[in-house]
Amino acid sequence: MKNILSRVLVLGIILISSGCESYLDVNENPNQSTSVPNELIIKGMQLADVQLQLGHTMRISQLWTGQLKGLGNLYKNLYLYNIAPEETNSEWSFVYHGIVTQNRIIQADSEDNLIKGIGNIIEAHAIGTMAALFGDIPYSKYSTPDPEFDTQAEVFNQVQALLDASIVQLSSVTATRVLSQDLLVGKNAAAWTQVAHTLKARFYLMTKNYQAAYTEALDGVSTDVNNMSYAKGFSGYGSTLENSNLYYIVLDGSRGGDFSSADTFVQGLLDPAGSSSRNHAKTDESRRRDYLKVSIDERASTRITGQNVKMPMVSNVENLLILAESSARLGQFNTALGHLNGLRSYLNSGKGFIGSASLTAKYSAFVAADFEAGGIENASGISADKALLREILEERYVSLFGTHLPFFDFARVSKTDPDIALAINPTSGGQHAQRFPIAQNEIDGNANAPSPIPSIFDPTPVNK
Amino acid sequence: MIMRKFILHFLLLFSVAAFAQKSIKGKVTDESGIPLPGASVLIEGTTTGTTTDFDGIFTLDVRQGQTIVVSYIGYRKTSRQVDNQDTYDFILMTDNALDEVVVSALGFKENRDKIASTYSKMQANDVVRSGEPTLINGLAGKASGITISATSADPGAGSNIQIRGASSIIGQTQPLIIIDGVPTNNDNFEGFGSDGDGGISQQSRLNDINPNDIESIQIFKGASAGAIYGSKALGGVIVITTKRGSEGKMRASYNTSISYDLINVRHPLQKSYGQGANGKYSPTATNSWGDLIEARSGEADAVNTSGEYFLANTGVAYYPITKKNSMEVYTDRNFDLVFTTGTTQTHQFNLSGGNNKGTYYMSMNKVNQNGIMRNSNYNKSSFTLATTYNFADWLKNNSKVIYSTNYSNRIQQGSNTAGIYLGLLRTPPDFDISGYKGTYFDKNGNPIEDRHRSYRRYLGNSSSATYNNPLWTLYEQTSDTDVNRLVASTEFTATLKPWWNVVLRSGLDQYTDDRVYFFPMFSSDGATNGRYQNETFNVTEVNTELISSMQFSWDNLDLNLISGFAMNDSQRKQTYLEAVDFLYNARLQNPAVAATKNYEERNRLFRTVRGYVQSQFQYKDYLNMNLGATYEDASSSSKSFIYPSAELGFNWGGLVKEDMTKGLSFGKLRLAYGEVGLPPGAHLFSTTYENASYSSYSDLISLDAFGGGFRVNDDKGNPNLEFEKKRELELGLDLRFFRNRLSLSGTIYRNETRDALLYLDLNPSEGYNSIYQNAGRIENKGWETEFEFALVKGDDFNLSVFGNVFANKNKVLDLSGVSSVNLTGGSSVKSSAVVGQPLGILLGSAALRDANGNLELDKNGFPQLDPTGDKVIGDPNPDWRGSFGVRANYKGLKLNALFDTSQGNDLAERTRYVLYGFGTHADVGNTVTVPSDIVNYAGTTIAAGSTVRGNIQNFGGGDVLLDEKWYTTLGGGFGGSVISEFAVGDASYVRFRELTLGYEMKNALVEKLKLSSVDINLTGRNLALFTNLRGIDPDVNQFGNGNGKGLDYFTNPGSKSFLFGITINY
Repeated sequence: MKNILSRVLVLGIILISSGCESYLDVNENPNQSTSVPNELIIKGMQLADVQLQLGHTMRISQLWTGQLKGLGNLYKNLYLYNIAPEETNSEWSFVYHGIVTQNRIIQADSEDNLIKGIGNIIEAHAIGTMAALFGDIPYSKYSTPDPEFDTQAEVFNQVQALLDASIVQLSSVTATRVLSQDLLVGKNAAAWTQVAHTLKARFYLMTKNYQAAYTEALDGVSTDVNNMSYAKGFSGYGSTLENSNLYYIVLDGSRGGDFSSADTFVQGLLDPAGSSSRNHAKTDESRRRDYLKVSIDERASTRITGQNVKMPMVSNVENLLILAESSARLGQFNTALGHLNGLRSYLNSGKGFIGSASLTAKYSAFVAADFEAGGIENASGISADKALLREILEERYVSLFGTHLPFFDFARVSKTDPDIALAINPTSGGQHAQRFPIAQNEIDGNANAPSPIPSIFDPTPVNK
Repeated sequence: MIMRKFILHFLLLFSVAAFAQKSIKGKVTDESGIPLPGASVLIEGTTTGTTTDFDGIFTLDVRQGQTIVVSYIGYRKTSRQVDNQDTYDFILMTDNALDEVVVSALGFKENRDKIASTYSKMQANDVVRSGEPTLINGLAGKASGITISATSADPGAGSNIQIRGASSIIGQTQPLIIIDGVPTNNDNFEGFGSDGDGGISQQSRLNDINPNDIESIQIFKGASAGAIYGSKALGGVIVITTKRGSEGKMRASYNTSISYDLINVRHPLQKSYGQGANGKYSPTATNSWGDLIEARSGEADAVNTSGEYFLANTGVAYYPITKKNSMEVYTDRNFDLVFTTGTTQTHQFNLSGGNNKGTYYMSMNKVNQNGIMRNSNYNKSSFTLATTYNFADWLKNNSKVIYSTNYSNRIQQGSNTAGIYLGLLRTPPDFDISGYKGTYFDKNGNPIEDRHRSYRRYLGNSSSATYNNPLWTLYEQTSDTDVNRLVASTEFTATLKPWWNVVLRSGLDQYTDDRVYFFPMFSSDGATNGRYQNETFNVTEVNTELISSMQFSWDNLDLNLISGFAMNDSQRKQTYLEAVDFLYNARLQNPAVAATKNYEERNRLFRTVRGYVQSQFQYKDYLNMNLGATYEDASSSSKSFIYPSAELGFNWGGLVKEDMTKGLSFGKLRLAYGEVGLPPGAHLFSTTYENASYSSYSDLISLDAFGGGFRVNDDKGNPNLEFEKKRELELGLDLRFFRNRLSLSGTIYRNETRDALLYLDLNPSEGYNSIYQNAGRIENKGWETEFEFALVKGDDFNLSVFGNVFANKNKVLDLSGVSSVNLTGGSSVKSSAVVGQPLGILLGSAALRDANGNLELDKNGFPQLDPTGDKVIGDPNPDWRGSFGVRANYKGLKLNALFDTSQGNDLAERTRYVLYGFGTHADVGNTVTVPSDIVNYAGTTIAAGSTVRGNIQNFGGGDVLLDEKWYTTLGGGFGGSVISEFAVGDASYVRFRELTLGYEMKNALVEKLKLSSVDINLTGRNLALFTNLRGIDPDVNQFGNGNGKGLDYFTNPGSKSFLFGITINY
């Protein structure tokens, strides 16, 4: 008995040992796939872009340009320019991993030029925004260890080239094709091509290439239907918290009471009774003022904080204003006035915002005389060209509420035209914030990150 | 050896002619005549022999002139030459050097003095006496080198066990638990439904084991003892031996106890200033920087009864306040509505006995605990059956089944707006929390029922309460856990030859943990529309091990050759259902009430195979050497590894001293080297696609909510993962004096873990957020001492003192170029790994300083935020720890007292700092009369003689006034934009951990009742705490059982207890 047992044991060990290889070969991931259709990746890129364009840094930019006030906790500190580099960790990760990495997979794997074109536009949108927010950033050396930073100008050049590439890709797509997973435009290649042109125009405006900006904007977004807006292509927008308007979500949570638009510069500008009001015989901003109220107690479906109110990212409105500003910059007064009036007529027809129906909205067409010294848009008696430009910039400040663009404009205009810049006071100290701090994670991990990182009060190269 | 055997056999062959074979018989007993069953009886120089039966009897065929050698563990080996007699009785003397029998890491009984690795041993009583309802907490302060940190005093909450500092950076650093030779699960999972930084304190699975079933616990600290378990033993090994029945009459005992538990430390809160800002009252303000309460009129509040109002379930109606007049302060009343005296009742019943064929042990245990926070509880039942059976002289079986089940509701805590402390401590002193639920009527009289009334929504006029009313957290939300656990093991021991035993062990450890989190509509933490979460863990672990143990003996040399082979299969299925957007304000805890449901599933399969050889040499009584090697491969590792071990023990005492009864009675030098490891996480070889959500700040949007989608994982896969490896060298000295009355032992060690696994944060521009990689190195250096001194040893009176002191210095040596690894995600003070610093160092926002480390003040004399990012702001690791105890008994009366201490550890008191910003902390409730003109943070000058709220402080630029302007910007609050450095404090403490008074009654009445004894116990636990830290027990940890530590953020408090117990033995 005992001897038999001994032999069985020895035999058993030999058998078991020989089976070890396959016994241990169980490490394949049972929970996640190692490949998925590219169409499903585009969607994640789009959400990452939404958070970059419309999320935390956008709200901080509003704190710094008189559109929101920080009342408590983090937002109060941010309002007072107390910002730590960790504040932008998420955005850096959203852009490089959430957008660029995903897009490179699409460009490498996909045969579908619609998906590839959209992927490139989103990447260009994100990278261009990063350059505007942070100045020099890593881009051409992306994905290498310790990538060196490209200059801001180099980044903008690459972004223009990428947008050109996307336009070529989209040009080969059948006109009727629409990507079912497209959350942002929800339209065919032609619509996306318009978005690409408006983005090109936007970045040319930032780099002060006004002629190119004007030319691109002529092919830019020509109708709201072709706008790129958060959740525009998604029918269930606002059906649950996690697919809702971002203002709505943040106001719904524990940080909801920490900021508000009450008593801000923009509210004063829009208030017919305010001392710095932009209302006059041809303009009544009462309803738009109501629409732009952001506060925990004033969330409403008629306001920008409504659970399913669209948040534009690249729009017909912006495109009209690029046409207006760039032509004004090129000294084409009448062309510029025509584009501005085009926007005013659009607004006057009840488009562009909601607001309480009981309040007035009026945007009558301007005439050249309105900008002459003593005209309703030129009480201070500056040149008509300047007065028109000032009005266009002020219109951009109001119309592009909810994006980074008023912040980018303010930093730009303080340099190009300090005399007509909006009279927004710093929230503390004597300086305005000009940029965002490079992310803590990038500082920690990249030996080529600048040290020390540029101060937020230091203008980005394009605005120096 | 084969040659030697051959020669022996050859000689034996020739000796046949000289002496005829005969059968002899004998009995082996100890000094007091008790038979020793299982003693080895060998013919010297041969492998022929037998073992004694259950009466100590043996029979053996021998030849005259041969020598019989009888040995038994814990006794001196004795030999006798065979002469013409037929009966040979042996009386074995207890080994002179022997203190006690211990159990090796493999579960075999060994002689204590022949083990060269470092361990501490606890007896059953040491663990049970403190009356802790959970096993792990009962180990605290009882051995050197061991740190037990509780997550909170929540009923059933888990605890972290750490031996000799952390040896892994992000991996599991808790020790391997071996119960009766079988690895046993001590999981502690947060899961999807709860976060590390906020949620509920999860359980530790070791606490499923009934402490009363434990016979002894041994803690092996060094790598040499653990090497046999390879990658399971990185954190050390705890060997638990459970009780078995013994031969003889049936024994029964019943024990019951009740304990009363109280919160042990409270956060101090101010009671002088009301809700509001800028010195003005506001009933909707976030903070308590309002008016001076005693300056109010004291009349009833003026209210507007014409519009909206809230009718609480208490019957009280709340109207909009137009003028705050009331001077009532609710701080203490609010506290008492949340906290109460907790109670714990236990019942324990044991039955055991047996005969010469087998034994049995049965136990039943029941714990009913109601926590110090109302509505929190832990109810546990466990059943144990352990048997031994002898099929034949050579074949024995040893089996055990434990079934343990518990049900528990614990309270949401931490960084969680639906948590208890977050809501309670931020509540202004002039807000009454009692009417937490009721009906809200809008200005048109439309009612909304079951609305949540919180201090920021005192009329309940919003679906969002912002922060929970703490009573809502207690009574409306639930966080239930339902656990069923089965641990079964069986072991066959076959004595194939007198010198060869083969052991086959198999163990099954299976549990299900079913958790339900329920947040009705109007709850905070993103649950304004209601949330139901159900998470289940189904874990099965099967271990099979075959061990061969061979015993060889020569003149002065013994060799025990052990080899073994083990397989481990571990499977886990985790399912998670989240149901949100309730269709109505339901209290039915079922996903049927929700419009949106998300389901997730995680499966894990992990296997290892292990083979090992160990050779234990013993030369005479004074030299022992143990050499071993363990081969291991795991499914999650791309490479196998061989873990070596070597131990050398030298009992020099007997060599330097003839008479061991005076002065030195024992002296031993130990030297040990070993390696242990940790396997990589399962299923991480390849980069996968994941579901994702994006939140930039409090604004999460998810792919799921947009109809689903994927992204390539932000954690890059890695096909080259391999084991983390730790090597350790230790040197120890054991001394005993005065007939073993004074014992001292000391050990110094150094260990280093290489290839430590890390989620390396990549810089974002590398395209991924992190990669899981063998990338770190970390070391621990330290020393440990233990002592015990029997001051008085007598028949009636005994008194001894005992204690330990130990220190560990940890250092992160390499992180592959990454400057820091955050171990506490989601917190703005980060317990981190930083090269050159101890693991867990606190990183956070700091004050701006010049090159000499002096504060760079702003023009008003206030510190400024260092805008360049995180700095080292504290070290949560203690410089040293220790404990001291007294044990005494006089006749039947027993006393035990135990103190322990931790010195030099920092804690980020984030609760305190956040409460500064909220204006509720006692520190910011002071009123001062300024002696001279003084400025505040905003630069406003406050004239001399003014009486204002605040504190005067000098940062180096003259006196400044710290008031609301300071505390709500840099000097209080949360996030990277406050100076978190000022939130760090010294958390050193001395704790009176335990005091027990016991009395054993053995009088006539007891005898008349046919009982053997009745024991009565009175225990106080955590009776006193001496520390400079205010507000929180320094033992708690916001991040529960992970490697991150030293953080308090609205973490649930600790407790102290008074326990009364009675045991009836039959």
